[in-house]
Amino acid sequence: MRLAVALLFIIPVYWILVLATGYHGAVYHLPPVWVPLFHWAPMVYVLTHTHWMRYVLNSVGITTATIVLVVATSALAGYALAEIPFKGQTAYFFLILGVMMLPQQALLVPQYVVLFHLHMLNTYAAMVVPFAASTSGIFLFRQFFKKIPVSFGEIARIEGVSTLTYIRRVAVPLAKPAVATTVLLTFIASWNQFQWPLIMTNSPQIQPIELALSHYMQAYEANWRELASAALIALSPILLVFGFTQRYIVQAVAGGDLNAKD
Amino acid sequence: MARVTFRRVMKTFGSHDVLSPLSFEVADGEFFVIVGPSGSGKSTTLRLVAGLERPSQGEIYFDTERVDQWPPHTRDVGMVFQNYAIYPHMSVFSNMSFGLEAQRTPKHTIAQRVQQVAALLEIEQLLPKRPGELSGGQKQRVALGRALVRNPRVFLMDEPLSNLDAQLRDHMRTEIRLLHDRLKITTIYVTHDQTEAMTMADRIMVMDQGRIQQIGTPAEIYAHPSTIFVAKFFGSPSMNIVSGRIAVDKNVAWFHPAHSPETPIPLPTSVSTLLPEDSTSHTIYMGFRPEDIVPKPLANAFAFAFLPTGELSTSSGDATVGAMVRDSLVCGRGWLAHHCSRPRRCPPGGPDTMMSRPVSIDSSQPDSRPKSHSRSVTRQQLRDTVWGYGLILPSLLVFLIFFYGPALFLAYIAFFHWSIFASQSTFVGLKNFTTLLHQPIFWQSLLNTAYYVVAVVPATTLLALALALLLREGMGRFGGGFSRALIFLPHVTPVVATSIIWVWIFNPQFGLANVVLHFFHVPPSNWLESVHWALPSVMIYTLWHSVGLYTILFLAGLASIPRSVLEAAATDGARGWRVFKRILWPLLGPITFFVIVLATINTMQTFSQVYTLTGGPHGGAGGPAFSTTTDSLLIYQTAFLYLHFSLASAMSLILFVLILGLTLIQKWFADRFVFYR
Repeated sequence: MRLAVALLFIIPVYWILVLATGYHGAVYHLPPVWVPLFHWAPMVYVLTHTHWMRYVLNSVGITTATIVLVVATSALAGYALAEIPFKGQTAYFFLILGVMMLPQQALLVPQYVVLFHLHMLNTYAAMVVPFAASTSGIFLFRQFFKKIPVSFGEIARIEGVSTLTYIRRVAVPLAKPAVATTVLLTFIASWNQFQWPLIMTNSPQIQPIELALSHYMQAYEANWRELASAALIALSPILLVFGFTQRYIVQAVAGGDLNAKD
Repeated sequence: MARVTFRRVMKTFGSHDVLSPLSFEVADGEFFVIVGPSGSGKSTTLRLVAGLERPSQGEIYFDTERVDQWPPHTRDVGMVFQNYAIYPHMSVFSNMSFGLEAQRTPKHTIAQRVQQVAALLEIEQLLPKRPGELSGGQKQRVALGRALVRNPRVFLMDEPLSNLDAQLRDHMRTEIRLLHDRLKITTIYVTHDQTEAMTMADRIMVMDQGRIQQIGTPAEIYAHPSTIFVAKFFGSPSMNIVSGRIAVDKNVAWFHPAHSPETPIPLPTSVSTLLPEDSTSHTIYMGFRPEDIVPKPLANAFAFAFLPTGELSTSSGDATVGAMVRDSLVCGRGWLAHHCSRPRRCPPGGPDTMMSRPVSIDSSQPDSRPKSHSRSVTRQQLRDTVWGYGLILPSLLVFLIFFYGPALFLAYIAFFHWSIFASQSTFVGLKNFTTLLHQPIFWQSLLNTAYYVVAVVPATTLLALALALLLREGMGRFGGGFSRALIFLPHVTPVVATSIIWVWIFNPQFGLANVVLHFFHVPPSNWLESVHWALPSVMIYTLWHSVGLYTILFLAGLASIPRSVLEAAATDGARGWRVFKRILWPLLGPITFFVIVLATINTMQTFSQVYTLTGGPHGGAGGPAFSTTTDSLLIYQTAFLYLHFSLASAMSLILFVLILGLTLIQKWFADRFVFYR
């Protein structure tokens, strides 16, 4: 019963595979086709005869850069909030909470204006820099750094290890779950970006895959196999990563263990 | 190797005095043990030597160098912590070499040093191992090695043996002492364990409540404790103390015990010479060690016994005499202490006079304390402030430039006529808003959004709750975790990619949706191309895409309900619906509230699926007859298709206020009706 309900949820995802690799015209077949035939020709066509590789690389580059920056900024700020007593710490804590509460849709217009004035429209930087800091990432690192014994930092001070070296070589490696969670959640958010690049770019050169897909959708509506293949290309990295790490992703989203305990 | 000197060192945290002025000296190469109960200030004293704390007042010297303002790593101290502070993710070798690497010591020197120390401690075979593979005793050695590698002038140990079992502790005690005898490094060792202090120390410093009680060799401290605290602290069972008064009669001092003043005891001269001059005007405490009590009669001993009846027996000599009759008190091997009854009220300078080897304090030096006090505080605070702000700076800039800046700017352009092409903007007051209110499409978008939110939020919440209850129980054959993941999966998929398949599912001729309707003998629908069904189609997609997230949140809420509560309900005979209504639902209150707030905020801002499912080639922008034009879609179109930035900003501001207002209303509602644990 449980599994049946759950399977219902992935039927649409499964159907992308069916349509992408089925025979020509399978879309228009009644009753619907259920079995994928694994014809990869349309997929190869999409990858070789269009700019699709470019979009994939754009997405990979943007996502990678965002992940690296988010982990770095989150670790630094998380360390400051967890370990360094300084005036303004509480203020920053509330400032982060405030960012979490700002409604994203209402900010797009002024954000566009800010990027315009910074001459960042239509650049890779516009895809990355505004997302280079993550509120949940900072809180996550803060929480993990607070668990590290105080003596670890003190012995580093006695041995003359600089704060940055300590963060890089001791604190961050000891906060591996925070790193993993931040990487996974940033990957999903960044790879799935659609509205932001839609507004902030107009050059096909730097478009990420989701945006390209939406243009593709309008241009090639009748070519279902190619369209589904393209969608599958956009989808598969997410499916792969999710397949291997679903347990951690689900736990990260839930903010803790999901199994009942006393 | 260094001599360590404290001169009137004080430490305060806030208004709390942790250390009263301390003055003492640790000789070069000495094994100096600081002992006292928890909260006595012994660890703070050690941390002051290490530089982990700065003194509020006073001076600390290593030999002749004043070090109290030096940062820790410049002091050349090695420290062993109670929990060893070995980094679990590094090999033993890396742990030992980490500090040297930070000092940019040449690689071959590091390797050589680590090998030397490892050989000394016989831990060479452990070097490639991870700390997790080591036993307690091995970790202890690694911690010692890590401190020794740096060739410290002073070796500091903070309760290093308290994590070991009793047998190993005895062994390591001997070993650390032997190591010290070989290396002769000045060592300051903090412990609360009197046995450790007695067996390891060259000299012991006893502390209580931030004060030095006594400094002396173990023998001195045991035989001649200078305060009642010290007397009680050492020895097990501890020393017996009798209070009383001294009266001199016919050149003989008589001790009148407080519990039986009418039966005074004559004190022999060996004891009475120890009495202070003004002893007759003070309460006098007489103490004796339990092991000095032997059955009477015994020769060679001078002693006296207080029996409950007041009967007194004495004898004289070297050993002890006395009788133990139930709770009788016996004073043996004449020992007397003069001390005021409350240690905290000791006259100034009291602790200093108790030291067996007092430090010569140069009284000609003017008191420079207040200056050093203020300087140290600001320097440390400044350092923390600089680092604190330095580390938050990258994220702070991102938040300010790309979030708070735009939020403020939004409030600005909503009241101006502003164009991306014009350099000037003109103040127009509420004109943007009045224009907006006269646009039918604005009202339509608000209605669409309201319809969308009112339909989607309850549906998602209920479905998520139902799914969570379904998935709640443990791991089945395919594991609750697996089903959980499948339901959650749509939420992580990119909207555009999965929209493609839903466009096909909603295809009026060949789509799956109509096939399903046909199966149930329901007439087919035009879905995305119908005025009435376009928005509900988007709702179905949203439900599919987001319900997994809320299910997971509900599952987390369910998991936090203790199993014992449910078991108690089951024992009471509660079943199914009753359990849900009376137990689960009230306990799920906070998480339900959270889900509703989150779902509302998210659905009010839905954009991508509206855009891709109905905004593109399907029925023009915003569905047939604007039936799917929601607020976020309208903002997008107004700003980025028609370039009316001011109008779009006014709209955004309204959305901003609406979302904030809804959150507050929901919060108000929840505060009244939701049961928080």
